[in-house]
Amino acid sequence: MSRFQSHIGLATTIALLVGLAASSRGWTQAPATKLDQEKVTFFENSVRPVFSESCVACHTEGNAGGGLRLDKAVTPSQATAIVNRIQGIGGNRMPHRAPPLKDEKLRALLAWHKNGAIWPEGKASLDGNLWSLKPVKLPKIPSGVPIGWTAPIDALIAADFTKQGIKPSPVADRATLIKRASLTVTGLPPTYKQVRDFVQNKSPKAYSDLIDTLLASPAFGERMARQWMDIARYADTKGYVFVEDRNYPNAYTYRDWLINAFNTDLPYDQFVIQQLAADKVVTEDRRPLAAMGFLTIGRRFLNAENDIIGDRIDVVTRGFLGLTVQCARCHDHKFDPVPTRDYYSLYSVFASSQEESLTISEKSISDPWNAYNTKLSSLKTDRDSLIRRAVTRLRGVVASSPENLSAKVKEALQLTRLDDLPAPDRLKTMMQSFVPEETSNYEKLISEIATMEKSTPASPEFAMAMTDKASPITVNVHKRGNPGIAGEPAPRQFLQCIAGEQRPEWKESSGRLDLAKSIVDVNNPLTARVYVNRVWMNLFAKGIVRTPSDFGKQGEKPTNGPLLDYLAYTFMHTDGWSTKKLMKRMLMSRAYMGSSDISPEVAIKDPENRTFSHQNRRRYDMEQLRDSLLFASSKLATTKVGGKSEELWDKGYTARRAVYGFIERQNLPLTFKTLDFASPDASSPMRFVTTVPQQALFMMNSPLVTDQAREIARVISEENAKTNTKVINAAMRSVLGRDASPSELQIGTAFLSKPEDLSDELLNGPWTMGYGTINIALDRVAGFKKLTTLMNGNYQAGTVLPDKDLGWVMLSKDGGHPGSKDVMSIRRFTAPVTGEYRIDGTITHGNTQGDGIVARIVSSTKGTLGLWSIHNTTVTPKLDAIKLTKGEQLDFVVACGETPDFDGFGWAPSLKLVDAGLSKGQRRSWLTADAFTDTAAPKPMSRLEQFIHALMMSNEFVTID
Amino acid sequence: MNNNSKYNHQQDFADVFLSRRDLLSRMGNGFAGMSLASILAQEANAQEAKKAVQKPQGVSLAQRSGNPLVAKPAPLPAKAKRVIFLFMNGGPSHVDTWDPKPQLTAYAGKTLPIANLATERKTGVGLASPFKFKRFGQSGLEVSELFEKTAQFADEMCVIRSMHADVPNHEPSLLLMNCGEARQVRPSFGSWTLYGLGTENQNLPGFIAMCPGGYPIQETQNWQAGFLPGIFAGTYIDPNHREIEKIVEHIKNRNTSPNQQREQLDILRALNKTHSASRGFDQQLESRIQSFELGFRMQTEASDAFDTDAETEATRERYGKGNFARACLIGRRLAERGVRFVQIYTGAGQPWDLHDDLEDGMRRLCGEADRGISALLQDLKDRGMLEETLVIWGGEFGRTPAVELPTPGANAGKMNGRDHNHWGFTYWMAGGGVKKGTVYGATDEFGFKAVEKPVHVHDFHATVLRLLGFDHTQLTYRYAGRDFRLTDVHGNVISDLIA
Repeated sequence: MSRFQSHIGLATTIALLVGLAASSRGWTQAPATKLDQEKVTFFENSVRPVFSESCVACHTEGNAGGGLRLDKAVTPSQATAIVNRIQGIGGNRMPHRAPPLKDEKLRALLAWHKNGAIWPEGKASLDGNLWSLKPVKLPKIPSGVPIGWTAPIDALIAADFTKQGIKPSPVADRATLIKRASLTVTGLPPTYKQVRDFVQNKSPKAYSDLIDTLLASPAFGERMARQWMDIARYADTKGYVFVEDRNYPNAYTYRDWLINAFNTDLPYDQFVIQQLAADKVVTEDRRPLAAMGFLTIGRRFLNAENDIIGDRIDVVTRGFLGLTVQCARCHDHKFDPVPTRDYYSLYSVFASSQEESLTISEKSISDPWNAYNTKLSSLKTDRDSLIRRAVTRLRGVVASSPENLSAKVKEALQLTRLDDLPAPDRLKTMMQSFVPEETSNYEKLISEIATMEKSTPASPEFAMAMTDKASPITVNVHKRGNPGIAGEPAPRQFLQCIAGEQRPEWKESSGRLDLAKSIVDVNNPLTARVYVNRVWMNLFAKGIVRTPSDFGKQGEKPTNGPLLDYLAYTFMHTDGWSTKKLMKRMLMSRAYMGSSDISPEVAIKDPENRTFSHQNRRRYDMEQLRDSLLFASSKLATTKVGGKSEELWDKGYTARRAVYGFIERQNLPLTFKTLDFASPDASSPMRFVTTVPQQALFMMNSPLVTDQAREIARVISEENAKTNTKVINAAMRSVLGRDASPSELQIGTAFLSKPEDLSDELLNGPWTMGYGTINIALDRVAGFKKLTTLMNGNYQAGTVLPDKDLGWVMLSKDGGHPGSKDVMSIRRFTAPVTGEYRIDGTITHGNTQGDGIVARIVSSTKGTLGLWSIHNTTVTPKLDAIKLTKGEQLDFVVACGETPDFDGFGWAPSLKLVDAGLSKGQRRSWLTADAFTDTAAPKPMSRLEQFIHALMMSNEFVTID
Repeated sequence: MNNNSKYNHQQDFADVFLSRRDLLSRMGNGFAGMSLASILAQEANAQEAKKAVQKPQGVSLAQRSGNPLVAKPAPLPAKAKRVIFLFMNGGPSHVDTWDPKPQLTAYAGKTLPIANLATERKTGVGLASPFKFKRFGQSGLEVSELFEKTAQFADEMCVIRSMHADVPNHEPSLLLMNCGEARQVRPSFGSWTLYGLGTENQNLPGFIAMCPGGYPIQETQNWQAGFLPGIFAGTYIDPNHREIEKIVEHIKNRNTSPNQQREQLDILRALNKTHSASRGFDQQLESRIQSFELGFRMQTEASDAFDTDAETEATRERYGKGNFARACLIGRRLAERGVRFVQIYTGAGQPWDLHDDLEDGMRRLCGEADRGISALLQDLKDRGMLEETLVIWGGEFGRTPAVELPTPGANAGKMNGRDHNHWGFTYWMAGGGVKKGTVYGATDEFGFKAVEKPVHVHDFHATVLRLLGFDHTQLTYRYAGRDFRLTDVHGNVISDLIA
């Protein structure tokens, strides 16, 4: 999604209101009386939107149909004409050539006209109406709620669903509960043993203890960090850049900081402050500096400062405040009380700050590293000044007694610019004329430098930090977003809609710390609301506000305002901004524990579960899925916490949790997208959930999945279980954390008793790579044997080439090499269906040396179809289409001439069915490349492996009830 | 149309409920009875459903409900059975292709006698089209040399020269054109079509979006299912790749023979049924079950459908080189196989976004497009498929007749290109029951703004839905308390575009 989407998007409906924004005099012109206030509110809520949606397109600056503009105030007579025309009186009915205005809109305009058709300048009263800007108040906890729903969270929810006549779902069973809690709190499933112990634990504290254990687990921080990384648009690369290194090698230190912040339950106010201004609050422990990665890991937009700062304003305001402040980059926000000036106030803050790579390691690491660098650079300085002195001396010699220098040395001096160090080759030349002392000093320095560079001390870690510029900057508003058109100055200060008109300016510094403090001010109504809603969404799959990064007018209102306020208030005032306490409140609620099954009645009355009368069923997100796959095979590496980013999907994929995945912003690998990963291009409030066959194909065919199935089967096989029941249960325990039901035992037993088919023909298709010879008398291939070793993409006789018996014989995707006169390389095609085939592919021998090769195509029933002697040339065999009967073999044989030297060849034949009238779905072409993979072709899966694999593909495996 | 014919989501949803209950009761003795036999029974249903595809009128509600993708008859008489939408992403210039403007030549290098409308960037004097226009066909349609091959089909075409959209920016305009809404998450046009009509071939995705080399701007949102079930989303395919594994990731099963994988998926289905049965109907769970069947069949069907090598040399030659052309050929193969909606983008990003070097760029892009598109139209016609295949050509907007002024960092300081223009641009349709050999509407004498019979994107959607057999106000989906539709609260059918 484009970073500009919301910005441009907002322009859409009422794109032509720019005139209003530009002509708006003041944004908070206070209406004089209460009556006026009501009229203004009415106008803004019910009248202006009608004009914007239905009229302004044809009545605006530059397009004022009938001379009327509705992007600015109208005269009383115009107002009268408007209400007439929308009723079809006095001319064409308006809106012209569009459906008539809906009744409520029509009534609104009539009422507006009747009450004097007032047209307030600007957008005075919006803030007063925005629910999210009203103070957070502790709500009254309702009484008279159903049994079990008396805790405040539950009472507030129960009041809501009771009012709507909805019955809540019962409490979920224990196995469901532990799976839900484990996956939502830590992102990892419980083991079979953990499930069993929890189900059997009759203690009333069992559930509470479980929650405490989960919240204390290091995996908790990893899960929470990943969710925040969606908000923070985390990536390990910059996105598109021209030439410089695309990587953010230190981005991981931000992730490490996040994990640690959650695991140590860093209070959320500190969490915010450190991410914006750790440089101002850091003490002995310098690791918090890494928190500022939040600001700095965004896209680089070809280093356009306007866009980089825009991205930072966006991540800060949507991330912490749920306000789409970026909409105010070009004009006052169309819907929310954010004037352009506020945008540029924040712009001034970030324009007064600069990026700086700061070390965060302990002294024991950074001191030696610093000492080393100091020493090394001092040696290099010594070396360079020695060279400079020598060069200066030589230039003197050129002037005084040039005959003492060789022509080459003089030329080298001539070619070196006065202030530059000589290039290495010229230096080498000049050294011919160094005096012995110069030479020995130089060599001594060089050797010292070389020695030092051989033993670099451990590098410390670095934060992608920000610091203040020497003198802070106040930018002017860029009118219409254009930096070339300066508007009024935008001093560094907070948003007016939150802090009020009299808010202070931050004169002394960049203002980042002040900004952070304003965000976490307990009187700021947005911060806590936005955060508790995010946490709620993570635990309940749906937010109380369903647009978690937009608490403005275009967003949704809370489904349960008092609930949101209760959580926000206690979070700030009771729990001291503790995420763990907040989560414990939620996790201990009856609402969290409810079953996700819904009755048809609820499905009709509240299909989106806005009341939270039941839990929401959800599918694993990408990280839960990947972690669970590796968890099932016990391969998941969970001991180490933190560290650098690693490859998640390709060959050699990491065994670490998905949170440690390397995120390439510009070309995010397809698998991430297939699995609904959050786009790292901009702050992402929530994941999409799609269901597409590509996800199924990932589960069916990706090595990451099948490797785990094979591993589980391997372990089970080693246990030598005697009965199918034991085998099936072992598989179920690993993958699903439970034993099989009788019906599942039946299904599994029936499946495991099916015959195995372990031949590899079916995997390589109709191709077999081998060697043999030609029986000339019979005109047939004789003594065909398979080449059994697939190494580096080549089929060969053994791991060593040449083979001691068979010589150089081998076949690759593109060609191969014969062994000796009697050891010909043979690529065998066994016809999968009867039909007419066309043979394609050219034969190349590309060496003048040796005596070339002899290539043949030999049919198992018809003998030699063609023969070509080739030496340092390319031949295209021209053969008619040939009819092959199913099972018939076609051999592509290459023999050496008299000697096997220099006989590497290129020949990648392919076959195509040319019959007309083949049934749909019939495969038509076979490339020899089909038989080659980057790695050795895996063995076909056994029935047990297939069964385990099926369990991994099941809905149950990926579903949280 | 009477009120009972409202074909919205409510009805289907209820059907699914009923059929599940029905299915469960038929299984009778719970899950022990959920054996391969019952799976076979479902296979049989699928067979029936396939037969029904050929006779859409005969599809019963029960058959429909089992699989949301089974072909459904359109509620109104219609010729168009499928769509191939050639999407010129970036915004192709109409005044250089389908909308000749002699006056623009007269004003080349001069200030136009009309005010330049506001577009994304600043524009200056008139920029004459460097291309020659000629009349084609009986209808005498005037088309530039850039599309002289495609113009051979002038008499099959209906050219709309008065399209207009809302804003001159790619992101919202792409979404408006594809989803009928510029900002919020809404189902794409293809998803609506699939939702309304299902698809004829259950072994391939019903809605395929191809874009060589990567995504267009706004990426997969252009073919999103929005709030419709995920199964209606477009399946993205990169036709750049030749190896099927590169076209569809993980398409190749290297672990199990096809027969054994089928058996494996059969037990998967059985396990999933056990799981679903205790949970009541859940769209997400059902969709996921379906997705495995789709994935399984894609492994074989996809290889075939995308194997352009199966075409004769002559055919491939006719389409020409390049991956857009190849996508056109694949598009024809997909249409032949009953894929309901195929969308083909020109390439990753915004290839037609010629803010500078217009002439070179147009020659390059049109060269490939003209050849591929004309070959596609020819093949559809030769196969008798054009009558029921609606081919659509256009982008997210057109381009300004006035030259774009140089902007540092934006158009390389050059002054030989055109800016975005949502005020007026051209779309054309062919086949699928459009009024042949027609030109509809007009822009002003320079091609800046649609002035005669303007057609908004919503009107266009309404019209195309009518060509597919829908009243656009009736194809709705109940979501979050209201009935949504592709055209939201807008759109008028332009009956002059329909034969």
